[in-house]
Amino acid sequence: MEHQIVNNSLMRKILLVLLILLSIGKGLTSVNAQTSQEFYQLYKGGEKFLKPSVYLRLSDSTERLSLRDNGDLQFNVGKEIFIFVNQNEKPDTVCLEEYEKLKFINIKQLKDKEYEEYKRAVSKSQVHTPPPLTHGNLNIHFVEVLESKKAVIYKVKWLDITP
Amino acid sequence: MVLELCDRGLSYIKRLGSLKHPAANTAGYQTCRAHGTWCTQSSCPREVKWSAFADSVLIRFGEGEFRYDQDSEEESAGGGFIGYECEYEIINWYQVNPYGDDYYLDSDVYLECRFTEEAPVPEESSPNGGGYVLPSNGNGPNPPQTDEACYDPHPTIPGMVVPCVPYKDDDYKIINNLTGKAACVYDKLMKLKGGFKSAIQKFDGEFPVAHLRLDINNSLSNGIYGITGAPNNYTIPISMSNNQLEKISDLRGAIAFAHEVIHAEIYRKMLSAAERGDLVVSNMSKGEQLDFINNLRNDFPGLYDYYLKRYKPTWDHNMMAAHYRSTLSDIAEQFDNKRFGKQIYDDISWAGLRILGENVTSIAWDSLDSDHQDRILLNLKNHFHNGTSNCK
Repeated sequence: MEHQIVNNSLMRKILLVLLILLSIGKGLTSVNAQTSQEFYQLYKGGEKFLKPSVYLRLSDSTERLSLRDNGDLQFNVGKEIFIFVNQNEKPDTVCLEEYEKLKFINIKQLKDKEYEEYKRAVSKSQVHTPPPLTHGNLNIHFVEVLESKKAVIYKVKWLDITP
Repeated sequence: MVLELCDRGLSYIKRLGSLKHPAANTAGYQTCRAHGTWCTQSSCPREVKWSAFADSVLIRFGEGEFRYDQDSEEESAGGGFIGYECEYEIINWYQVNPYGDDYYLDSDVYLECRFTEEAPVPEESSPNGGGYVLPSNGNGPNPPQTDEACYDPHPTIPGMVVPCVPYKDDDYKIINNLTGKAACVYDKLMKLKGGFKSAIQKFDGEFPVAHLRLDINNSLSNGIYGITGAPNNYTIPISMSNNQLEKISDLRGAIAFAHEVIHAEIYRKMLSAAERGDLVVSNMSKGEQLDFINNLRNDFPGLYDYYLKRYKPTWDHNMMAAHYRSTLSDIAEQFDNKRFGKQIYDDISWAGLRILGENVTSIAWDSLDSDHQDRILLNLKNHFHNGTSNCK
């Protein structure tokens, strides 16, 4: 009987250790997956650059469309289209204090920022590469202020389209 | 003796390329295997159906087999290889996935052909007017060459040749999912003398976009009538908004359409220079980027000038404003059956090419004096929103 209790206790410890290891492993995988989205390269196999985060305010001039019932959203700003994919990124909610710390840019500044980032990376790597024909060197967020004195941050994908 | 005709190199599952596999009756016996790893049953959210075209013959992938049976309804998902005997000349290879581009991600397909050489016999004749050239790799002699000018080495696949087949209408794949006013305007454009396609051909004297996908997207912003997406797997998507097109005249709709097709044409040229199915520069190796730049410089110096030499984020619209307005004007004039003088069509060809962004106007527009600009703005106003609209 005593032997069985010891065995059970040992088994529980082993299970606990396994669970911890599993959760660490899962966490690492998640961090790796996230990390790969946080960097960009100028060319395949080249140096990795951290994508700067930029924030755009959801304003009256932003057209917001629900794409499907799954929470995906489309934001139209001028001639540009941004997509929030609910499956990939959950919206982040922050208090107004955090919101006020954010530095917002407009669509023209976003385009300038994208080009500046490309030039910065070229200058840093000392490798001349063709300018990007698709968007991918910025982490873009749309921020919406809620009535509850909170703000929702949507990480979005800038669609590679030209009007 | 085994002579490797082609090797790894074709990595795009959607369009495998324009390759001519020597027909079995050319010489000896040949076996080709299309290798591939794509999403497996477990990684595919739903079953992916694959099919392929070799020339006009529909080929479907079966489980581990590759068939020429046009009536076959075999479907498969997964990876592996598909072996087949090259009984036919195959020039154009495509694979079609009806579920969208997402399912091509992480796919990897290449062709491998092994040619067992037995007393090579030159082709007497072919639809292309000649035989093929197999560069010697030291393992065997080149087969006789009946028409040297007719075949070129494939740009990316060592040992493979590209036939000198003139582009045919069939090469120009237009996937047309248009409805409503967009479909009506498109149909009208296609009925123009010489057809819309030939109007497009005029851009540079050669056939334009290889694959064009025309869709409806009614979620575009106010004043945005159409968009052109970056190429993916050799397909350039154009989306038109019926919601927006319904607010403007048919003539304006035709110009909006032509505007997007010019974008597609620019992309097609760039794809040709990049020798790949997309234009994600960061996915190119340094060597591929260098080739891309050199090919642009050599083959499309105008494009090279705007995109690389004096790059601006608005380079494409600046180029269109400077160099494609006469094309747009001609299309508009033809579409409108010359109801007005040429000046009107020249002026309305400025649509979408004046304002390129917030406080940004095109270089060509800025170079006009204010009298010109005023006249153009008046003609745009008179003929766009107030013009005839028979398409519904």
